Amino acid sequence: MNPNSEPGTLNPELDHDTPMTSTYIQVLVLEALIIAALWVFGRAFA
Amino acid sequence: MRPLDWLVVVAYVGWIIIDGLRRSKGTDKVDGYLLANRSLPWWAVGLSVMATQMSAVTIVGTTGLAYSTGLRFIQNYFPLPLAMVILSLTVVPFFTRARVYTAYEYLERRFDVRVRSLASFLFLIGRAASLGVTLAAPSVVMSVILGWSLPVTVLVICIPMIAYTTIGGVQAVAWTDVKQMFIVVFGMSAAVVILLYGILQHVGFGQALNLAGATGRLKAVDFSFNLSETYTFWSAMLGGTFLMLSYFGCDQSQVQRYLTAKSIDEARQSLMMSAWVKIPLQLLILTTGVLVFVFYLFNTPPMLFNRVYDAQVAAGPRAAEYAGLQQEFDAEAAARGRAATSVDRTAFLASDTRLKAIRAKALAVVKQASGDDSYNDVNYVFPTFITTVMPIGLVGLMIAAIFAAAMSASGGELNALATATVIDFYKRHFRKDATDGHYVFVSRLATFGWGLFACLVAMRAANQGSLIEVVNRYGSVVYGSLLGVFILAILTKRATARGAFWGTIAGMAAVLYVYNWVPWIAFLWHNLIGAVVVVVVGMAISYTQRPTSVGSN
Repeated sequence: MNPNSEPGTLNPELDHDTPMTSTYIQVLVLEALIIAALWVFGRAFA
Repeated sequence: MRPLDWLVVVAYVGWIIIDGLRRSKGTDKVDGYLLANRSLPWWAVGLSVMATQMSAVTIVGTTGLAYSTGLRFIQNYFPLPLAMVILSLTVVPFFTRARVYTAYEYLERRFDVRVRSLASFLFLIGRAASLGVTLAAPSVVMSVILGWSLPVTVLVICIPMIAYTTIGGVQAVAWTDVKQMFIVVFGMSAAVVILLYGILQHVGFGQALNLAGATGRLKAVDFSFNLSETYTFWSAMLGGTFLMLSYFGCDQSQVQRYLTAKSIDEARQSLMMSAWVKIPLQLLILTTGVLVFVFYLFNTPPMLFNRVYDAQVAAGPRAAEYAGLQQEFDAEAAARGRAATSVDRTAFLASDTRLKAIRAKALAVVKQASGDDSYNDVNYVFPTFITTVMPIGLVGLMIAAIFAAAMSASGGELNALATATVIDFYKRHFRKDATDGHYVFVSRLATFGWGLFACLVAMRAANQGSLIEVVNRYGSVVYGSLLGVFILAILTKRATARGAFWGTIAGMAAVLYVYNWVPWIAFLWHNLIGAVVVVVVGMAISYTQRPTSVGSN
């Protein structure tokens, strides 16, 4: 390994960085819905 | 296990090994061997991230846990989507832009070499210990099926895994993980179908849910705030979030997965895959365990699923007592089945309680007769179901899935251990200017060495309660401190190298103190305690020093 080189330095695609805010919100909303559904499910069959 | 099942197992494991070895092309350079030349697509990285976490421990241990306690373990995964979002916003672009091989390299740039080495060392000891447990799970399965000794079983699983990981590097690991995920999901879905078919012969679906619910097994969410309760909503969202952030953000076995992605975008998408899929996938596995419980309401279960000491107990002085318990158990299991079928909730619960008491007595007899205080049967529940109930062909497929899960998850961890050893210690402290070929050779040696070490740990770990909990317990000793030092590095400008170093030592000391002397605090809280102590002590020490510019202290 060349000690002066860094992994991936030559790949210009590597730093592609697109905001994913809507995906993050969707993920968190789904998680909240799953937790709520599990809580209701647990109480319904307790 | 019939010949067709063995054929499926041998064919699948053989395919995994041969394909893993085939992936060794392009691994003659360090970038290729350790990072797959940063060329993997997001879906392959995403599946690899999940597969590295979802090992054979998950299949064997989680189903056993759900059989005994129900769905509540799912709470452990509640913080995962939030953690994935936080990591996508913070460490993913951070590590990718830093062009690092290991997460700990960054700590030297931010602090100094002592902090980097300490963090990497913590990762090595924590991960090496849990790797042994990851390997122990399928060894347990094979011990049940074949009556092999544990050391022989461990070696049968370890040798192929060490071979393809040593030769093929991270590419072999990642593509093996992809295959594993498909086979595990297919196998677990098949198990659910077979369980439902068996249950619906006796009761309707709604009644099956009522029976599981009556025993508390469908109570997935517990909002009580109790530090001594292992799985509650609050221990998960507070302690568990720290565990997830630390595991996916500071553990090289996970960081290395997304460092192989083509870009920051693809690395993020790979983590989002876990955010979407992980909770439903764990629910599938836990539901399987609960359905196994319901199935055995109508089919007499073994009194104890772990039969390893049967002969010893039968030949010992308490043989008559054990045989009496067996008769009592069989009669009570039949009574419970009748109560379940006739929808007599009170009689069913009373009978279930009596059965538990008989099982507890039997467990005590076996422990006393065998002299094995750590004897348990949690991890034997699902393997017993597979081998005694599932149809020919599917038995082989499920066993192959467990084998493959063990090999691919362990392979990822082995690969990460070797990377940290070579990049953070060998290259940093011993040979800074060697050739690529030399570092690849040393990486292969390190992979092989860690593989042997893991085999030895696996032989010790097989009888330590539910294996999935053992893995998390080991991890929780170091993960909080690791997260704490990364919080100091990434989120504060005022923290100094001395503060980070001694803060990390203090965090470890605090967690070890709690682990040994305050055992009533559930292990998920150890992550929170470790991280908070590192940050508080680290900042306090930092404020006793003059401020220095980031990267120069």
